[in-house]
Amino acid sequence: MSRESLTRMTKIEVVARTVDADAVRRQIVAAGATGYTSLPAVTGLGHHGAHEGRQLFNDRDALTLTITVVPDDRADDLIEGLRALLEGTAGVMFVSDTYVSRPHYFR
Amino acid sequence: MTATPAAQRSDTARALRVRARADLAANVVAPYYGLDAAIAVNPVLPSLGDGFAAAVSSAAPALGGRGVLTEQQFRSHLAAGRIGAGELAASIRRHRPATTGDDATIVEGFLAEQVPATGSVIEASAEPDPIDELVSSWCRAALAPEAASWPVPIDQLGFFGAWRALALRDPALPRAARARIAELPEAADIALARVLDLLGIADDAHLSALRAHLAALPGWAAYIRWRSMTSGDVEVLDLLAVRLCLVWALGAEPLPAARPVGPTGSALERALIWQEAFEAAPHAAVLARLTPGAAPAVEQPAAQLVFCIDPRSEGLRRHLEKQGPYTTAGFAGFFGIAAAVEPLAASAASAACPVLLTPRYQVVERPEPGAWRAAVRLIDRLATRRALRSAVKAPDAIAGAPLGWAEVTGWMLGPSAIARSVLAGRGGRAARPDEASAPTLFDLDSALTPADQVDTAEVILRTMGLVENFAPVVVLVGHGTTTTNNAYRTALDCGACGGHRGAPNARIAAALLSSPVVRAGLAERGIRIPDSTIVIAGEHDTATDTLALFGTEALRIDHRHAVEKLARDAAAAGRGLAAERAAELPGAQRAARGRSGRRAAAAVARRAGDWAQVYPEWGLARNAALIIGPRSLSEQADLGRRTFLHSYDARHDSEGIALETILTAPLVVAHWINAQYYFSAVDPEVFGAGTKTVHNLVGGAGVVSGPTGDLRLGLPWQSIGTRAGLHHEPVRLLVVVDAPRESIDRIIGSAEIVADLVHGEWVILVRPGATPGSWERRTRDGWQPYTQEGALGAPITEEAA
Repeated sequence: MSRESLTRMTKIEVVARTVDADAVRRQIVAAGATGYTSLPAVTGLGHHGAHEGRQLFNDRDALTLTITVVPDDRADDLIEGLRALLEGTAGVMFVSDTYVSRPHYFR
Repeated sequence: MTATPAAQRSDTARALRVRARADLAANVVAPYYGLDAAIAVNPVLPSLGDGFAAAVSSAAPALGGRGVLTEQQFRSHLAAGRIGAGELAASIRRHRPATTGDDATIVEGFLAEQVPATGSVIEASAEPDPIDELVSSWCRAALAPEAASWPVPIDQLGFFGAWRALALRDPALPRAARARIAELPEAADIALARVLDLLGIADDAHLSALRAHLAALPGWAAYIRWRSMTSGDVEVLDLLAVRLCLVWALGAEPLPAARPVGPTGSALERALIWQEAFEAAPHAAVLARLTPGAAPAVEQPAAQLVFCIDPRSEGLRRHLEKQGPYTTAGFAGFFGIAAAVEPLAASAASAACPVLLTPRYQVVERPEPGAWRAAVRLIDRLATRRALRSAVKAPDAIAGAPLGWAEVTGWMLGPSAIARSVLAGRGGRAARPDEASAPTLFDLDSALTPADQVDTAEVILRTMGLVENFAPVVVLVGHGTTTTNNAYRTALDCGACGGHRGAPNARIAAALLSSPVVRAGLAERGIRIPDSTIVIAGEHDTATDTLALFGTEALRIDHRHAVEKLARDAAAAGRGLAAERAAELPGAQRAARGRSGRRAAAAVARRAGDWAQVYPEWGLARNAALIIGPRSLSEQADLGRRTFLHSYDARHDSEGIALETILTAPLVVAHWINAQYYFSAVDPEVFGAGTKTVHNLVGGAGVVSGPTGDLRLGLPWQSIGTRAGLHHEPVRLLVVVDAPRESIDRIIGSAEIVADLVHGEWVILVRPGATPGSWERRTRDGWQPYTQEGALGAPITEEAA
């Protein structure tokens, strides 16, 4: 399947502390995105060092990856809001072009 | 990529930016979990990563509170001998390494210094702020609907939308203000963005302005934070929108009165010197009593009892171990059951695990086979009681009705009230409303697959370190409290069980470890529980010092005898503990003098049933330490119910997994509790809830002092002090970890929360040193020798280690 038959949109991914993930999701919903995917307890190495995944008895002190896809015309507003959020809390945002096969899901 | 210039932003972008600022501003205060299932929390939790010193200098003052005791209080402790000159001198040397001279000279010089001025004392204004009053009233009406005179439509319109709709018709607001509110947008985020502009608050000042407004009513802000995390029907943004719209509509000052700044520079250093000197004695007392490397006192116990790590368990464990060949262990009181539990007569399940965890599954309590009639009777009885209570309270919501209602029903309720007052708890054993009397079981098979049951059981046993040498009887002991007419009852229940009593979790874990399928699965993984070992559940009532045992009806004769003997010994231990506790409870000292403890036991039971008793128990007051190690480390010690005790044996944890679990969960919870007591004691007005005697309940949300105002955070005065002064000593948690340095370092390196606690000096983490009686402390700079005055020596190098 070639990309010509797909619709280009913007994918925004945010890795933030789990306690801040609600605020990220509120941004996404308030921007008019139709959905998101959350991956709790992600692991990795970053600016603050290594991060383990979920602790056995502690879901709170971990990182969550939240992913959303929005039409390009909504992306700038959402990026603006997420940048304001990340100015005051730990976390990183990745913005990239993406292609979807069912564009009406995302509008 | 740079941010879009303000003038070019769309309304949506502006709304999203203000929403982000509101969420960031919310970090001025930790969530408050209400009183339906109270959870202790550090009130400045969002600032944890900045460290304890920053909490003293900025996070606590931001809420209008003090972060440490006052200079005057510290000097009084020095004069009374509570702080020793040696301890103060050691603390001064630690902070000022160039200091020379003997202890007396150093202390004399310190006391003669001019005390740096700080503005951290908030003088309460005689006149309540009208904006605070209006916002408090709205919060109370919208979030505790039973307190409102008529229904508030937040379900349909949201918190802000409902306020806006009602404000337009509210005669309490001036006509001009209502007209201004009518001009504002209906959506909370856009309205907030608009009023920030109208108030002339610059974009780069939004965050500080919003923080200041939230800090004006930290109780409601904290409660709304929790609601936004749970039901999600209100957000901090909504609260800010209501508040700022009122500020603009009424022409009030754009910012609340500035909070005095906290101590910085030399004033902060001085406060920390005092604080560390104050902590030295209780911490040294704990360390002096510990015996690293000691052999267990009992090799072949008749029973092993696993208690919650709660400091109140330490007392019962100590007294019980004196009664016979028993060994005890400590574990988080939810016993690894990360479940939502639905009790028999409840309509919904509630989380019965630490708030750090999201429940993984749901367990339902059902009648035992053949006991359904008793269960139906119980449910009917509870429904009748609820209906009666509801009927009696219904007229409270109708203006003027309570007076007439009292005339009509007074003759019925009056004698009961008189009897309860005169008898003051003597009328029989007090019971909790959630105390079921029908035979029930917890339906594990519907909650977990057999494989998951084995996994869960293995985690429980390995984290406990209970993997061999099982006694014939193993008892998992949860805890709860029995008190009457006490809004803070759930604060005395088990925090690890989500602010509920601990019996259900203990019963579920006991059922799990009794299952033949689970035992077979455990055996395949190297944990062999002998067929001759029974696992049963118990519950320690921390108000009456009694131990209830569950599941004892159908035991084999030898087990029954052992359990009966255990019950007798536990009763004797409870009487000893009651005498110990009564000596500290206001008004119970005479009862403590009896030799057998029977008078004390009767006295504490009576207090549990006395509806006028504001001191049913001291809860976790005076908590000062968490010990993570084998029981033999503390077995010979009387720790005065001041320590959390978590069992841990490094020999059974070669990969450090159990230690990681303990340091990332029970340590965190113990710190939250410690910090709640700490801040409630250092500033009872701001971080405590004030005296119980003027509390008014606001639904399940909490209490206000008097008829209106902010929701009160923290603990009531009766949890931390008496007329004589503070009973709780505000000291940070000493954490003793009997584990190799490398294991601890690895966890600090990989778990940010542990690093924040240790490096931020929220806790003082020590481990046994290389020589008997020596200790070493982990700081941001590594391991250093730790003397019992709290002073640190030169860093320990690898060679020295």
